[in-house]
Amino acid sequence: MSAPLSTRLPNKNVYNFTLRCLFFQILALICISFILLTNDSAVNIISNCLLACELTITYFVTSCVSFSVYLPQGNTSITTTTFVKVKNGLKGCGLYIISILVFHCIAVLYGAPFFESVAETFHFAMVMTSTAVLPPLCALGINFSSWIRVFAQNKPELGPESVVQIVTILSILGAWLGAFPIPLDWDRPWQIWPITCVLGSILGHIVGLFCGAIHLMYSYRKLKKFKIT
Amino acid sequence: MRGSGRHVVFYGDDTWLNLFPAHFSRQEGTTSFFVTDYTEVDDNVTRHLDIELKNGDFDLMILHYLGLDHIGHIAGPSSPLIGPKLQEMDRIIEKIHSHLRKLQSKDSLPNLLIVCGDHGMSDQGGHGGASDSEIKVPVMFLSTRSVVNEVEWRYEEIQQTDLCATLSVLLGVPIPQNNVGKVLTDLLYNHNVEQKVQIIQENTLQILKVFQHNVGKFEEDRAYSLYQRAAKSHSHWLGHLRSNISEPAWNLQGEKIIQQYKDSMVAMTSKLSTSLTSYDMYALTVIVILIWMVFLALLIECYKPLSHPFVHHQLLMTIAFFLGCVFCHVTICTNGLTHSDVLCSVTSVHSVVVQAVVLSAFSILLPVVIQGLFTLRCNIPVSLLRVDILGVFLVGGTIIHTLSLLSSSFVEEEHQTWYFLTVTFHLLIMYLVIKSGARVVRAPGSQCHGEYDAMYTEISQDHSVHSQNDSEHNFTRLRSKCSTSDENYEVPLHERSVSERSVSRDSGGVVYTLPKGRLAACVIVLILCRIMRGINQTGNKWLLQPDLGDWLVRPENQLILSALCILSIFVIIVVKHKQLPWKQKSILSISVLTVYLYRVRTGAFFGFGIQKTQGILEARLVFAFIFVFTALEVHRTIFSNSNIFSLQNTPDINSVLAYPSNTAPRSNTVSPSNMESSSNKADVGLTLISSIQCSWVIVMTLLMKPHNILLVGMVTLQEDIIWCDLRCWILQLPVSLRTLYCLWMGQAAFFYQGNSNSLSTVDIAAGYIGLGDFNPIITGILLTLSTYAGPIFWFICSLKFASTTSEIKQGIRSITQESLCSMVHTMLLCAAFVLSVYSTLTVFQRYHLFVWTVFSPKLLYEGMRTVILSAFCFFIFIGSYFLSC
Ligand SMILES: [Zn+2]
Ligand SMILES: [Zn+2]
Repeated sequence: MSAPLSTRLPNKNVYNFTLRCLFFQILALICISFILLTNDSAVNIISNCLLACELTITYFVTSCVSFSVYLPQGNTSITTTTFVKVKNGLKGCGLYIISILVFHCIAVLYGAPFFESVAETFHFAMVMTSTAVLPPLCALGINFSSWIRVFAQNKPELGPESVVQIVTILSILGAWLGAFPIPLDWDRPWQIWPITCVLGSILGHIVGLFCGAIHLMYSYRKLKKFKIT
Repeated sequence: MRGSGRHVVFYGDDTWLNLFPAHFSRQEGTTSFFVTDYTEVDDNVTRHLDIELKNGDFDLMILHYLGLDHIGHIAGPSSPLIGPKLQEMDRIIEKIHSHLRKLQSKDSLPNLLIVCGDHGMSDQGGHGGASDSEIKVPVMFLSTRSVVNEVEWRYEEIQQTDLCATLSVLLGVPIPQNNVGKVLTDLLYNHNVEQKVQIIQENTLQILKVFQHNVGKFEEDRAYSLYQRAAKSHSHWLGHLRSNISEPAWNLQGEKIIQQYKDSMVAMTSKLSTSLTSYDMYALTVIVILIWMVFLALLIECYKPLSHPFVHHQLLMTIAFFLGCVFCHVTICTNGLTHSDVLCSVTSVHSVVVQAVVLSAFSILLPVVIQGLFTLRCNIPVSLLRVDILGVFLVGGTIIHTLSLLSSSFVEEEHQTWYFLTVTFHLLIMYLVIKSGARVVRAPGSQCHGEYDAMYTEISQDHSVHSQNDSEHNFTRLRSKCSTSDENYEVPLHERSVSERSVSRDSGGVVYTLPKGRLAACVIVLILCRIMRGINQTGNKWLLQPDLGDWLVRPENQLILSALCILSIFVIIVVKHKQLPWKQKSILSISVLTVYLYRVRTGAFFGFGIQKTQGILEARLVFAFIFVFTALEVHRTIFSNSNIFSLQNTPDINSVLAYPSNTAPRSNTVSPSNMESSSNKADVGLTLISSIQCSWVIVMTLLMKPHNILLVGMVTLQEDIIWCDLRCWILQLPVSLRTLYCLWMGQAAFFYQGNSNSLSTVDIAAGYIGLGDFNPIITGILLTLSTYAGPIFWFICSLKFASTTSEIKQGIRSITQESLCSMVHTMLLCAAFVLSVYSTLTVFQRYHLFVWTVFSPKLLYEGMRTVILSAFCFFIFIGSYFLSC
């Protein structure tokens, strides 16, 4: 599912900033994945799943929030007061928490135990929220109509919106695919819920960032050429 | 035993009597198949014990107690019934043993008491699988003359086949001709080394005979050389005079020879067992190819390439292929390369018939497949590429599932695949529901192009076909149809043509109204899915996790179980009452309540002091009710078919009709009267289907395990919610995909019931409901129906979903027929797809470690499912033929 071409060319500042952020994010996430997967690290995901999840979540929250703070305003030059900013930030937090609960419920619907390993499921929900909901939350804000435009109507504007759409879809897909190795009878320690799903989600996120970057560059070039000629 | 003039008495399972007629001096069998009884079967055995022990004139007494097995089947190994039963068995063993010891005098031969189980029990209480707890059973040898000391217990793992040889030696009868077991020399307390060696030599010679008979070129085998070595050292040993070497050394030598003989026997028997499990490769290959051809033919049917140039030659080609097939077959059979008992013998009628069927099937299918493959190159179907996310997911999921069967752990955990897929599908529907809340407010004056877009919801479909003039008319209809929260109607997003989209954003804003009712429906469906999978834990990896069902069947929770079941019965009645006239309503209620009474009688539910019996009468009553109910419904259908307009007035019918009659006006070519009658006809069909479904629900409540009545309630509720609130999203799919959806739900329901791909989960008790005696045909049918209750329920639903297409075009009959064909075709295609892939895998993996434990039971289940599917399709054709008459 790729975003259809929008006719609007993104602001050059936004474009450059987004690309740089994507590049940085991909590198950082690959490093984090390595840390999570090395055997003797303190936050090894197999031996210390909860801590690993917390590390990932912390990273995601800081990077996404800083992204949204530093994102240069595009064509809309509306200045917002600090009060509105704080209010929006609080609303965002509220959405974040609601989304964690929703993901927790979805995990239970998929068969995660209801009474046992609640902490694991909850951490998985937090990781899912960080990989799949936090990016659009930061890029789109709490503006409901732009959420609808991106996720229901499938017509995001080129730039952060299109990247975020791809990232969200691929993160969820990654977590979905991550559930497949769990029933295999290999009896490996990493087959325990929710390790594979967390990893799948992070991996899907990375792939999403990569695809988003390529899509962004490709479409930007094409649109620019189209405008020139 | 009988042959050597001994007296054998037997009491217990009457299977023995069928297996060995006229072998016993005295006997009494107990019907083993009445699984729900666990006291009488054992009392039947025990009451003979005293007389027999007093008589004491037998040489061998066999007592086969059945109660424990039955308890296992009904209540499982953790049932509170198990303890008292085991104590009862203990007392009986003690009684026999002490009696035998009393009889024992100094010089009489000792008596032997052997206690053993015929099979183990899985953690669900069934058996027939291959888990350790099912195939390993304790066997105890209690001699009345303890040789060494009183309490010398030894534990050792022995093969079942060894029992026969050992018993023969102990009882002093010749070892049977076809025995492949070896004598357990550890049990020969009273024999000295010389005797032991002699016994083991006889044993080896006997096995050697079997070996020579069954294995070609046996002289070259390692086992034979082992035997020769043992025989050589044996003769060497005998050649020594005893005086030459010391006694212990001589004995040691003897033990060594016994070990050598044993090694050679082990080698011979293992060789024997592999040579006895040889596969008829020719027959296997032919059948697998045949299944693949059926699958390909069905697949080709999808593309409909059976085009003109070939049709004329069809008959000619069939004959030509027939001759070709016969030729190939005869060549293969006579050239001696393969030896096939099934396909190459001409002696039995059975095999000749099989050959004829196979050959003609080949010759009919081959031209179809070849033609299809030829024409396939020319036209690649474009229509399949235009499917929406649900369709892609349904097709993709089916393929993923079939490919997942290639891994044995995914076969064991197949239920996980289905749960995963169904939950994802419903989440996708939920996404679409949430999405459908978004509407674009249309700017005044902009025109609705109405570019027909088959992918989107029926709302958009409906609107786009109509012109603007009747949009007013249309709105009311739409509101009535999807009456959730569309208070102020806006034009759905999807229907705008692509070119318009950018304009619409500027001219009108997005309005969002959350479709609360449908969202709630989705959530409820999903929650029901989750609860149902929690009722019966199945599969292999998480089998031992505690589940709701285990908890409910505990005796202390009987009241809760009964309350929940009454609740679910109530739900069933409420859900199913909507569509029925009062006569049927009352029959339905009475029959479901009789089911409850039946369960009270068998002791599963809290019964307000009603006496416990077998409940045969109640069960039969339910069957009678179901029959009457179905007959009434069929009668009503036939009656209403002749008087179409009288039906229009009955309100309950109209409510069912609400959907099709709303959409019927879409076809402009149909005149109103024609249309009305046609829609009515379809709806009559629909009511018939829902009443068939209704009677099936009653059958389900009767046949399933007591705690699964809960499940029936939930499945019914789930189906009703999907049908009432989420129908739009499923009906927008083509018929074949709707059928796929129902097949998925059916498979999930199959596993919700507690079934798995292991034979031990089959609920034997269901086969005897309402039966006083064992009847192989009825029991078999009941067993099949109860095992596949969930899938059959969803088959019937798929009929409902498929026949609802009968909305659009002119000839209602033809369209119904067409959609039925499409449905049947999809069902068969799916079955053939799984079967062809899976049978190929099984043939390739025939020497795999898991072939008997994982692959073949699954193949059996899949084959049985296909049989049921085919029978169902057959009934559909018959039914549609009669209804269209
Ligand atoms: Zn049994
Ligand atoms: Zn048995």
